[in-house]
Amino acid sequence: MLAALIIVFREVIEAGMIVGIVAAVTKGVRGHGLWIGGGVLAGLLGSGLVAAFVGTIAAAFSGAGNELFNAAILGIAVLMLGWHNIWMARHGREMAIDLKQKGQAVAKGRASLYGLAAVIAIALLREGSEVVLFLFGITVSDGGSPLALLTGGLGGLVLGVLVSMLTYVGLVKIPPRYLFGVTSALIAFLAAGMAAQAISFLEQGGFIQALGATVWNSSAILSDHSIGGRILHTLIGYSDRPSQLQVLVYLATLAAIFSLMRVMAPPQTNRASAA
Amino acid sequence: MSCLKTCLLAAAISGGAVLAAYAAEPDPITVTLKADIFTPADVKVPANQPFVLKFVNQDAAAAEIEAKDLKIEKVVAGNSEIIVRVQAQPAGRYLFVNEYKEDTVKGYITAE
Repeated sequence: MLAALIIVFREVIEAGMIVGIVAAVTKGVRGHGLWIGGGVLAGLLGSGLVAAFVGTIAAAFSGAGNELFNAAILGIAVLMLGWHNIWMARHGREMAIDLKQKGQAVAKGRASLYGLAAVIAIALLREGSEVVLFLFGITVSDGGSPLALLTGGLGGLVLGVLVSMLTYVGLVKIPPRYLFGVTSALIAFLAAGMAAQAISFLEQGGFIQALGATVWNSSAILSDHSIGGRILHTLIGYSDRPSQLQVLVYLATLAAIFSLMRVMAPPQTNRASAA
Repeated sequence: MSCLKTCLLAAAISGGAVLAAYAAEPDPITVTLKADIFTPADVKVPANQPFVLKFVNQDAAAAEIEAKDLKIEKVVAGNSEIIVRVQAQPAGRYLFVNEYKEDTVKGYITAE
C-alpha cells in the first residue's frame, strides 16, 4: 500500500505544484478558478485518453511516438509559460491597477489565462496518464491485494492535491509587491526545466544524437526519483544526469525569457519596480 | 500560412531524416515481460554502440520500463510492446525495472 502511495505521489507531485503555482499567479483575476478548474478537467480527460491510446501512440513514428508526443506537449507548455511571462512583463502593472477597479482585468488577462490553463492540462495529462495506467493495472493483475494498492494509490492522489494547496498557500503569503517577481522567476525556471525535459524525450526517441554526453551525475546525492528530486525538478528543472544539450537548452530558455521580459517591459514600469 | 507550410516542410524533412536513421539502426533485441518476469533477465548488448530494445508486455497490466543509467523511462501498455532506443554505452551492467513494481520485477542489461 505504501509503495503504491509513493509511486502515485511521485507522479502527481509535479502536476500538483504546477496547479498551485498557476493558481497563485492568476490570483485576483476574476474567474481564475474557472480557468484552473477547466485546465484540471481537460488534463484529467486527457489523461484518460492518453492512457487508453498509449499503445497506439507508442507504436507511431517507428516506436518513438510516445517520446515525440511528450516533447511536443512540453514544447507547447514552454511557449505558453514564456508567453505568459513576457505578456505580464508588459501588462502586469496596468492589470494590477485595473484589478482595483475590478472587471477590466478579466478581459485583459484572458489571453494569457488560456495559455496557463493549457499548461495545467498538459502537466496533468502527462503524469496523469501514467497514474491511470498504474491504477488500472492494479485492478487487472491478479497478484497482490488490489484494494490495499488502490487505497495507497488514491492516498498518493490526495497527497498530490495537498501539495497543490500548500504551494498555493505558500505563494500567496508572499507580500504582493514581491509576488510578481517571485512568480515570474518561478515560471521562467519551470519553462526552462520543461524545455530541457523535452530535449531528453527527443534524445530518448533517437531524434537527437548531438551533445548527448552526460554533464554530471548527481544521482547518488539527489536522485530524480526521490521526492526531493521531483520537487527540485519541477521548481528549477533539476536533473541528476543531464546531457550537454539539455543544459544548453535550459540556459537558452532562461536567457530568452528573461531578456524578452526586459525588452518588452515598459520603461516606466521598470523604474517603478526597481524603486 | 506560409509559416505553416515551412513548418510542415521542415517537419517532413526532419521526420524523413529520422526515419532514414531508423532504417540504418540495429535490429531490436526482444525482452519479454510475462507474469512479472523479464526474459531474458540478463540482456547482452554490444558496448560502445547504440542499441534498440523491444519490450513485449504479455501481462494484462501496464508496466513502466525504467533504467536510470540508460535514461530509459517508458510505459508499455498491457499486452502490448514498445521500442526503446539507447545511445552507445560503456561496458557495464545496467539495472532495469518495472517501475510500478521496482523492488521485485527487474533485469540487467550487460554491455560488453
